[in-house]
Amino acid sequence: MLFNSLHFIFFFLVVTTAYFTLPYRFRWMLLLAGSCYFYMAFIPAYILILGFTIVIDYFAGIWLEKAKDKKRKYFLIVSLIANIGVLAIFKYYNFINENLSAFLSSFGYTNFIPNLRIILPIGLSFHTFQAMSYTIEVYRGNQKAEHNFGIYALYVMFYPQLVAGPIERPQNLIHQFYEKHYFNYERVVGGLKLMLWGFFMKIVIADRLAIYVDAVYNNSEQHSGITLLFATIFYAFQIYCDFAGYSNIAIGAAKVMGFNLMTNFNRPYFSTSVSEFWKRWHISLSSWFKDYLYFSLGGNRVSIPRWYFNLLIVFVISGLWHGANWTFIIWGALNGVYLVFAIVTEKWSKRISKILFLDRMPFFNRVLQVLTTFILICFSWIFFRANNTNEAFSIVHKIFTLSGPFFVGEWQQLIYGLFAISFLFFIEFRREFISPGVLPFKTNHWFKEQIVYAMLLILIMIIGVFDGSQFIYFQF
Amino acid sequence: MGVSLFIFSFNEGMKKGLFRGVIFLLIVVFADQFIGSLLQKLYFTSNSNSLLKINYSIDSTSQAILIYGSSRAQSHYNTDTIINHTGISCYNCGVGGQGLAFSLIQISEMLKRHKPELILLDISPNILFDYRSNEKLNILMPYYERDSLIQKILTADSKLEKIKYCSSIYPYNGSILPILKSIFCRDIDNNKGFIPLIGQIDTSDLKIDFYIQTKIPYEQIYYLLHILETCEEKKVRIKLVVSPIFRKSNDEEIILTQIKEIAVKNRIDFIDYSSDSSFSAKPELFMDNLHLNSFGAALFSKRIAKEILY
Repeated sequence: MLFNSLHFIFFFLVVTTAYFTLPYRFRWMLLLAGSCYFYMAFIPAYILILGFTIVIDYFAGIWLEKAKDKKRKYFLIVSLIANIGVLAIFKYYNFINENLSAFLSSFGYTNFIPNLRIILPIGLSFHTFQAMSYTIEVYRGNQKAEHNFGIYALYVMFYPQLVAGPIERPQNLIHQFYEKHYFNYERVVGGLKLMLWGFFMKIVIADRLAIYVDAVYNNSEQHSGITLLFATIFYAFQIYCDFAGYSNIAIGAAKVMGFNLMTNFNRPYFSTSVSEFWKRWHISLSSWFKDYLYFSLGGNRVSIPRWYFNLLIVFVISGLWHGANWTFIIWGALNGVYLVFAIVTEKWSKRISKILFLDRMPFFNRVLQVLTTFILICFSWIFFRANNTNEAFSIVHKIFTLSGPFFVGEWQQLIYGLFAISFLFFIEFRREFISPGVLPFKTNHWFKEQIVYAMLLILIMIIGVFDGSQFIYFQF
Repeated sequence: MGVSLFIFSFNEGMKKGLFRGVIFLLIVVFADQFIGSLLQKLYFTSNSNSLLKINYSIDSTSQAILIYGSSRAQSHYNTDTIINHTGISCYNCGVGGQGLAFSLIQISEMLKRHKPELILLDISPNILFDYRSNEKLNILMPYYERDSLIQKILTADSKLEKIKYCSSIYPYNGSILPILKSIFCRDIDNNKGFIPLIGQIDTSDLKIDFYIQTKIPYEQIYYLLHILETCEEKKVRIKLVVSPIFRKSNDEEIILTQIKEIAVKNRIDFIDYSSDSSFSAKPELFMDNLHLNSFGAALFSKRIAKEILY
């Protein structure tokens, strides 16, 4: 079930109404049943895969808590193997096998291992990581094992964030299932407003931009450098609005029922460095990698070369998390290289800033830093969006040569796209510098706000794309 | 004090929420109705080429010969050439990217008010397999209220689709820019619906459509048969035409054979130029594998004019 479908709207209305109608002790059951229904709307049988890891992690958590010394580690390893194993089979098996075939064929050998003909379960990487964070936290002693199987299953399957995050931590979410959530007008309306803004980001901005981006990137060989450059910038906003839009709908839907999910995006394109970008983009995943992988590798409390290696490996794995394709690995590695380069050249960049008097012009300096970061991130998006590495390198080459005419396509799409980006910039700029907060609009008068949000809804009806397209991050 | 409603308490917060929710809905409904009726008025008086042609083909055509189909119809049938050679009035109702469902709606709406002497329906093999064809029909959303056939086709994907049409704005979704453009600059349809294509095919980079399957989908057959039945009911002559293809594939041959069988079964003229030696493999007449350029269109239209007279 896609968030941007009428099916979801009805589902949400029914579940939320039932949630506030039912006595508290039955509410988690309703949410669990609703989440199962939500997940089974994609491929019903895949709930068995989810069930398999839930059962393993549930018992692993309980046994982990009871066990002592080495046995604890064994239970953790069993849980991690089960989760990573499912991920490996469904997401990485064919990728590894195809690369093995290519490797063997370069030596004249044939790989007889067949590829699997399976569809990737939706949101697999998200709920797997959320499940892993539970057993790791129980192992570390930061979270008590959950003894109510239904509540644990709900922790993994909570429908607003089941298929594309935010990837929650047990400390933040599990206790909320035991709390009594009263109907609170301000909170419910706040959640609905956030959902509406999420729908706007997805249906109006992301899906409009997608029309131009897809037209260019799906025939990249036919387009000039300037067109590809333009499409890449569009893509930067498309992927942001697609994913942040989803997160806003998820956080808003949970908020309506009284649940607080973690913030996942914090206006990332206003970052002044790549390092800051990763503190503002997909925060739940970045912090997951930081807490469970980067720190486990030693973080920055190691030798300098090892520190660089830690950064690179975390970003390469982050790339691989996004998809079983070399394009994602290069995308991850590129971001790792950016970070290492920034650390290595930190002294030099400060010196250059002084020489150019940039330190005396803070506003200009910030604009320059934001633009530089945006360009670097856009460059990495080329690898993220391209269908394969050859295509990605060809696009990079074309962008740097910039020859050929500019592709307009349907002129309306271009104008809608530019309008959407301008609108987003206006909202994000206000929230970044003038009126911070999670909601796009905030006034002191409720009626004015009603009008503004009503107009947002009307804008969705006028220029939204209602083709029910998938969210980009669903494929991960 | 809250008022007990079933098993949960109807507290002050809920009352406030209900009141403000109603106000919000009223604002939305009012704005939807107001903007929707404004868009409706502007849409149906629009002079924008893209909207004008659809409006005209549905509501105003009065010519004796009417041509329907996709971009191949739109750019292959030079109406002036046909008029000059036949002396009969003609209009090209072809719209790029649109398939048989679109032609069916155009024809059935047109036949409610006009009886042409001849309908030429151009069949494009590629368009029969366009998985986005239903999505492209969105340009007919402003006509939703008009006819049950339009409603059936537009809501074919999901029953929930009907709910969207409760909004007065939704039928004009995505149309606002062409509508606004038509206010500021008037488009003039000098070519009677024909849109010539300029350029020549690059044979070194020839792209031939790839078909995953060759059995024409059931719904496409349904639309075609519906068109033929509608014409028969209204006693209007219809010819199925396959215009030239630069290089026809085996798949296209299989697909067109199925169309020919339908035509023979229904005793309809089937004119196949897909591999006519006057056109095929002549790069100077094509813009790409499936589209004639303006020179090719002029030549083809002369041949079609002869077919009409014959």
